[in-house]
Amino acid sequence: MLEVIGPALIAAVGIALLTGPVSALIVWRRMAFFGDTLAHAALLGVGLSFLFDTSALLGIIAVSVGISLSLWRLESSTHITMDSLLGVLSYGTLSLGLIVIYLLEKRVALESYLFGDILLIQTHDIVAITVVLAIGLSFLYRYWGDLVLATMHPSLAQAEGVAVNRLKLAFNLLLALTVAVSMKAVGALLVSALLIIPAAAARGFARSPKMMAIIATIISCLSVTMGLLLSWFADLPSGPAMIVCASFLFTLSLFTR
Amino acid sequence: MDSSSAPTNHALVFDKVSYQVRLADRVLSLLHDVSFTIPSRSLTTVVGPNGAGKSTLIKLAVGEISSSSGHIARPQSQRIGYVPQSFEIPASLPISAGEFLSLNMNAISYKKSTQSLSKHTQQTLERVGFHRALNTPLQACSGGERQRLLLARAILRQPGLLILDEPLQGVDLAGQSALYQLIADLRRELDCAVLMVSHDLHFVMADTDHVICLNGHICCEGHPETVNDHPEYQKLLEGSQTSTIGVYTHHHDHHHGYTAQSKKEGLKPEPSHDCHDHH
Repeated sequence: MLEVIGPALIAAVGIALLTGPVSALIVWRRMAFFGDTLAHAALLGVGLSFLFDTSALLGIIAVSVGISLSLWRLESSTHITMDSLLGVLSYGTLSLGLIVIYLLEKRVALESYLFGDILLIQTHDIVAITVVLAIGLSFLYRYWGDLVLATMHPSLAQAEGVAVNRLKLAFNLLLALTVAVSMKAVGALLVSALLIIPAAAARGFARSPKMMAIIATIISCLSVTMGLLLSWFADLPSGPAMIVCASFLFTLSLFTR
Repeated sequence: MDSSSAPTNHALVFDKVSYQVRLADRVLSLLHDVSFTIPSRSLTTVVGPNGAGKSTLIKLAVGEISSSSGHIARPQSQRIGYVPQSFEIPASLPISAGEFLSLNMNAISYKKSTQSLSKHTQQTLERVGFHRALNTPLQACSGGERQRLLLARAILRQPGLLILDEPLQGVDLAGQSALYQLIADLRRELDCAVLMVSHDLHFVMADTDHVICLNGHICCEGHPETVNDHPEYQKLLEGSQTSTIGVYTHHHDHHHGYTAQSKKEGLKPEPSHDCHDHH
């Protein structure tokens, strides 16, 4: 059992260690829709990777980083509100991705891209997860105070010397990479759940921003581990199993406050 | 960024600064050709009606936005203390007053008790009149308490330039009087320049060296008395539809904590100046 489930477990926990603290920032900054958009756009990345015959991960990273950059550019210079922009991009890229996949490779297991299948994890995925995790956690550790301050009051942070705009760009890129490596575990439709539920479940227990990030990380790790075991023993799809576990922990958190 | 280094005897320099935003169908000019200098250790008050571009001016000064044209300069090493107009914290963010005070402040270590704070920090909280327990969640503090906390944080940064954006809106009137006196004192203690923004046209802080009357552009500026007599300022007052009794008038104390300058009954409100109710 361990030979099969071992790599999947390592990958899942690696992803959870990243989505935990990131989810706290997503919830504070109300960026859930942003994460959703990146996840949906990732499907276009899958399609493009078939078109150019490269690995899916590369296509996903390219598209989500591209989307993240262009949203950062557009946000400050447009009269269209962010919601509308995200809505257009989210469903536009999702649909375009589905069409590209349909045209190129009709027999592809679309389901694994929509809902994830972590048991199919490969060595290069684990390498990618490790690299993004290392970069992500160093960034969050180094800029934690700046990120929290900029979340609370961007002008105040700027006045105190935080390069707010550059920090936002860096965080958006981290989010893009997080979404890209999480695709394998939970798929385009469920990535957002890992970016919202852990933090939402942690809120009631936390009394400081850092504490909330840590508790969210613990909940995130618990969810993916429980989900993976559940999917193994009950023969269920792994992505949905993880999110069901996360939702269960969230519900539990409502009663234990 | 268009900020560059300013001569060390200047806390802030605006040189022909304009700022425009592009809307769907037109370009809206929020600030036009604004030039002024804030010398070190001086106190400048910016007054103007709603929509005059005061907030834009502050965003430009702190570097949150870049000007469309012109230059803004500050000494490179200068720290800014900033007290924004309002401070709303998302309900999802758990943070206590003490946590906030120590956030990104290396000199302050807060460990869930007031005792862990340095004497200086405790004294500062005392002076701004923040009396809540420091483990109180920020969301549970009142607007006025949050403003006091922000002022404490600004002071503790030992700024070269203190920017106050209509800072005492949530503070009760009696408290305001004390806090303005405190700001005037601090200016000498901290040896810093103060940029105070007020949307009350009648209100100019005591000891103000320089008043800038803003309405998209600088209508008039100068020493408080000069501005008071200036026809452009009088015109704005007419538009503001404020009665003769200014909010701060009855606070006029023997320290001359305020210079309350109330003028004329409101005549016809001009469309661009009559939005005093927007906060």
